[in-house]
Amino acid sequence: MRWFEPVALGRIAALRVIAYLFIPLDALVITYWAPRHGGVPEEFYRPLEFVRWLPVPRPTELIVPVAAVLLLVVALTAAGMTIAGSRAAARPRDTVIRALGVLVAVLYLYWMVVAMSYGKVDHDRFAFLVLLFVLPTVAGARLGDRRATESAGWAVRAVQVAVVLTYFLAAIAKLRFGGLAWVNSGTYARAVIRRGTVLVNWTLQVPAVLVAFQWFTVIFELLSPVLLFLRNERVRLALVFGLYGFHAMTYLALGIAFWPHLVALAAFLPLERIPVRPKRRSAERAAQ
Amino acid sequence: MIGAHAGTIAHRRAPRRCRDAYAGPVGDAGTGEQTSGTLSPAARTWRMAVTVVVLLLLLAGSLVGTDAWFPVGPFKMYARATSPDATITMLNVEAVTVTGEVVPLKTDKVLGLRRAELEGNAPRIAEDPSMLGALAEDYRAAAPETPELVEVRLVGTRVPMKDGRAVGEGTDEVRAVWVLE
Repeated sequence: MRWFEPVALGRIAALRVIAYLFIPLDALVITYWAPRHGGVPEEFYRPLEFVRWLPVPRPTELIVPVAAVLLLVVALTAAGMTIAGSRAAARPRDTVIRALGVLVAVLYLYWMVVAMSYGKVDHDRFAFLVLLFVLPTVAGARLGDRRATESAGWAVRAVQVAVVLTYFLAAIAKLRFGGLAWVNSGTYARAVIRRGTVLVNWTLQVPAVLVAFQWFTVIFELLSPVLLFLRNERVRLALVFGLYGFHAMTYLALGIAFWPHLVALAAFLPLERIPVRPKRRSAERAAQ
Repeated sequence: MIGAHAGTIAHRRAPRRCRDAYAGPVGDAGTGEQTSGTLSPAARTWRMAVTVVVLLLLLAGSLVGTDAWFPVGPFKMYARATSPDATITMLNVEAVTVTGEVVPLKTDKVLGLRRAELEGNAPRIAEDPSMLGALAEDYRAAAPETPELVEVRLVGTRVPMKDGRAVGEGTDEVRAVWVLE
């Protein structure tokens, strides 16, 4: 696999904007339950392994809101500076954006400690965390920038691999915890009973449909690494949009969407081709 | 920037000649990047070293890790095989008020404690029902409009399946009780 195949810097800048703007949405709307964890009785707190090794404060009614405000302010500043930075990529500004990016990654990781330490861990965060941690490793990225570099290539590749492994290792987890019998089990029926929407409750009377979807899920998860080796961009893009469709379907059926994962999935899209406003471009030209 | 790029502004739909190609100095000493857009050997080495370490942790997490290994734990959402003839249980918390009324405690909305989190804690609650007491106390602190409570219960609604179909009505089963003083 090619880890350093150059990718356009504009994709990094676009991913910064999307990821950093997504964070307020995530913290306030999507994982709306996380900020309230500060008020949960201490007995319910079950520390993650990496927290035991590091001096990470336990979420409390005081620390949680402070962490939330810090995270939102830093993320929004980084997003704003990236958008404004397409006008002129002065070196100090670029360094500040990257430093803020490191802060965002660390604060978001702490936010995950707040979210995931109370009896349930979600599995849609890995690729997004990788995205946050690799974004600051790329220098000089501006929106719409088509210059391709190896540092952008590695960052994008790392996120793509993380996305694909999330699917592939989900199939491995099914084999580990459910065994081969998983594909013919009542797992999706259980999911529909527990949280099915009006659109899918009929499937409880036609269990073969749900079993067919279980086969489909495992097969596509096991085949997902194909995405990393496809050289034909059209086919790859078609598959990526297919994945977005699959996740949209899951959302309609069960009300579950892997939002942060969907943000990371955008690393497969040629975001550098999104046109930057012409006004900006001419200003940029004038500046040089 | 470079003329070839600027030229495409006027007619954006025209095919671009230098798509994704290097067209200007990029480089930054801080990332070990050279002005040609390539990485120095040292910059490549640390990137690959980090990559390998994270991949190994992730692989170990998937093979032998637990949820507590987050973010490199196994991706085991919906990974357990539920028998098509199993009985599905959904946990909720309910409470009895001083007037004898039974009210649901919306731990999800008030404390951010989702059903899956209740379920993750269920074995410990069954062992130590005083956790329900602490929960009720913090619940009332977060939602002061809640009437005074005398009892808190962890209740499982059970829905039986047969061949992967839901059959019959759900029945409630009390899993743990805590009487408040």
